[in-house]
Amino acid sequence: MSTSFRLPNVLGLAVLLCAGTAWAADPPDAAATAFSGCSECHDTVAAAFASNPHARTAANPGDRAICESCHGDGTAHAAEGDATLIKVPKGSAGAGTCMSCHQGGIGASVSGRGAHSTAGVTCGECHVVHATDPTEPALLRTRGSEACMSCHPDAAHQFGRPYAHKLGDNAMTCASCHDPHGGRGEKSVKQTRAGELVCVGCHTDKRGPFVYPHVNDVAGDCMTCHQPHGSVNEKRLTRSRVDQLCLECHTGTPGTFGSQPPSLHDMRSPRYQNCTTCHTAVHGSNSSPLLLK
Amino acid sequence: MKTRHISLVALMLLLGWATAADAQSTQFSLGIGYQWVDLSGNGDMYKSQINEDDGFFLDDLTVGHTNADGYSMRVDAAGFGGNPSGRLRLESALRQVYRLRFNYSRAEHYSALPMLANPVLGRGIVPGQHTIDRRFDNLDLDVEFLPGRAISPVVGYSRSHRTGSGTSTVFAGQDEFLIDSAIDETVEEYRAGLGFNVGGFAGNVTQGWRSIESTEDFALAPGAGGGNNTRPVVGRDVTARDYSRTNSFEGSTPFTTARVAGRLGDHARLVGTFTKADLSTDSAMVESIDGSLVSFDLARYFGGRREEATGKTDGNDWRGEIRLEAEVVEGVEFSAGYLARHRELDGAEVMSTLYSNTTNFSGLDPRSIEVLLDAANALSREEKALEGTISLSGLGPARFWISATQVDQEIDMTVDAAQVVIPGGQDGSYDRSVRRVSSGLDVDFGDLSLAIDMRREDADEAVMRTDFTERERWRARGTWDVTQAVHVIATAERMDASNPQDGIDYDDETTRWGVALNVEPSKNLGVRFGYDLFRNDSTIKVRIPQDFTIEDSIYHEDGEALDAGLNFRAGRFSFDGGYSQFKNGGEYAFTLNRTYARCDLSFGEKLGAGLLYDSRDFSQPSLAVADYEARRYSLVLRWQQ
Repeated sequence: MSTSFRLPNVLGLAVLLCAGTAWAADPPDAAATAFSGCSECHDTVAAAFASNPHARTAANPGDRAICESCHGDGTAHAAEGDATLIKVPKGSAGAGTCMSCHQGGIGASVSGRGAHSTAGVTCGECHVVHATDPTEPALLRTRGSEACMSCHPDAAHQFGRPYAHKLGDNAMTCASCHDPHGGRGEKSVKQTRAGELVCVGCHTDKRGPFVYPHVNDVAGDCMTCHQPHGSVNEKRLTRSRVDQLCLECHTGTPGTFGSQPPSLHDMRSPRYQNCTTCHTAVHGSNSSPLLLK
Repeated sequence: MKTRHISLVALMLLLGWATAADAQSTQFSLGIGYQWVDLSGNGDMYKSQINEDDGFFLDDLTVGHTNADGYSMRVDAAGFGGNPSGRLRLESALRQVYRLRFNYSRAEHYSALPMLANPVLGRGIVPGQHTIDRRFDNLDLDVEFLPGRAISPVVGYSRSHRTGSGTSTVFAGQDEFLIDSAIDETVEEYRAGLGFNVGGFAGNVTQGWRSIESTEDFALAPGAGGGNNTRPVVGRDVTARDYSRTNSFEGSTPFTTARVAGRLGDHARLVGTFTKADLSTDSAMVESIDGSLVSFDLARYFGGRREEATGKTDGNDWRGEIRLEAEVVEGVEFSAGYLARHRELDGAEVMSTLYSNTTNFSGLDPRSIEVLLDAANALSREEKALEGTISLSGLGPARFWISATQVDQEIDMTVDAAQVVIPGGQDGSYDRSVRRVSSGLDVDFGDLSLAIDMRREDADEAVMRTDFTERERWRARGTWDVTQAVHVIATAERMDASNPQDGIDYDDETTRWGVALNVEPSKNLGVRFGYDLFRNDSTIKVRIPQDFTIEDSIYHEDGEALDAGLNFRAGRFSFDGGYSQFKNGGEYAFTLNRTYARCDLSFGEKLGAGLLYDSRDFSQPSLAVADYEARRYSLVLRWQQ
């Protein structure tokens, strides 16, 4: 099959499945959303919750056991109407309630003690369980990267640099590369499904493996030369001049990895200040040991 | 541009169909706009940074539907058309039956920068010789079946397609020639897995198969036969009459991932992950060039060269981690983890090169020369990390944590003699141990919270010259809800990295601090202000190739960013606007000013319109030819129900 036909086919199949199921589904019925015992008072929450992702695995969506799976036994609360007689998961204790289920399913993180939780940022800071729009992906309080930027203004400014990944609603988000449930620092950076650095998930032409690799996660990785959020330098490089960037590693020093360019490289000439003009295959080559092509 | 509009029309038809099919949608909003871009100055620079274009665009599309049977569906999309990127996301689920997630994104990547790979900048020629104008189409589809909580099978498919043109250079005959390029690359991935949640243990196992096919063609750019070097080489002008090259590449990567997490009693939890991938590729290259050329390696002139190469690579990657988390007593948590990582790559290549019409520098011995190369490379990295963390949360408003890690790395490299120009620094075995201690303290007084953390690392040796042997980082962050309407966030960071080894003398110091102020006196009015300063000073010794002298390589960034904005809503009218300025005063000095405003007006409950203005001015004092001024005006019509 020609690859040009695959995309519309897959796209069509997905929408067909989605729309077809919608066609077959019954119209909304407010009565059917009742959570016996809870919906009498919490009717708005109950109505929205019937289609909440948390109700997807329940055999009987109207069963108040769904509510009680997070809020505990509500018998006394229902009888007395006293708000103090029901458990409201909040803070780190509330996170424990979430983690009792969200600890390893498909697409779910397995990190219990992630960087955010260690710093006191718990599930409810970013997610809202009783979302008014239960179709909002991941039940996030805000769309895209807004939640991240509100606490990480320094990262927001990095994306404001002229050479930056485009961060926005219709392009990347912070979660494209970072796992907000992951560990500190580099541990928050996602991997591809095959365990590679997340960068090559999009920049597939840099993935290799190459017969003659350059930096390739064995000695050095993408961040050795690039600043992924945003840089003041072209190509998000860590240095404004390519020859400066290259020579900082490529200076022969005993005990370290990095070859010395031969003396024909006269750095006073613009020709040699632009190393990649000749060494075009700087990310790796299958045919040139010197990464010339 | 044509493809942008075709995509937008196709998307609208598709979504129109979905919307019609789902006549019971509880949520629908659609905003379509048209934008005009008024550009002066360096258009290539603008496209490299922004790349907005005239044309229609999708401001926003959201279709959401839920019903009492547990069915939910959401489609949201934005971008496309005049926008360089676009995204369509579809999520659909039926309770206890399935969950479907589909993502399609498109990005256009343009890069034609004035300084990058531009040895002819001194002659006033811009842009540089490495440019790209490419499009990425990516899609992901995952369907998870939900017969119950215990077992959830999942199947998925991903496809990434990269096409486009560009320019590059080729080094041949002691000169570089500008060449045109065209790439067509497809990556496909199929996967199937099983999620489980049994006996207090939850996790998933996935098996995937990834393949890649790539072809890139190169040809001499029109008028580029003279090369970059205008001077004769060994008394002869070096020129190219014709050049062509095709690089083709195929690869396959089966991979396995597994994750499991579960409770061990009431106070402990065990987490484990494992990923394994077997990479293999086959590559081929055919290249030919004709002209008047010189080879110093062969000490000859030559009139043509034909090269064919076939390569093969194999790789084996795996990574496993196991971690125990325990609450020793209330408020005291402990975790200990062990991570092992292995990456191994082997590459081999056979190349045949035929130099035709050759003469040596004295004009004698005209005959063709055939060269055969059989080369191989190998690299591997083994890494083991042990980590322990203690967290204390029973300290009133304070939380404290401390963590210690030791990472042991073993790196082996075997390099083929063919690539050794100057012996040394290209192969060998390197062992490196990094010890890391980090700790943090958070204090929460309700309206005021403060957090500070530090990390100190010591390494016994550097593998690469820019590796640290000592590194220390301090970070501080404070948030203050001054009143219900006034919120302040301040952040500060300082990092020092160094390697005092003789001949390297690496020292890198980065400082950054920023403050953001948000004032929201009412739901209808908000004012925001942000200010950020950063500075980087780096020095390292480098050896200058032409005379082998040692010099300091000095790099300096001195940046300042500020932004201010206002948003308010009054009845059917809303406004959001602001100004930002980014200035860098370091090695690469420039100023980027941005002003934007958006006004929206509703005509009743269903219809509305918006006006957008976005201006960006970029100026680079040292290279005025890079400057641009761009104004973008947009009109958006909205419909919602």
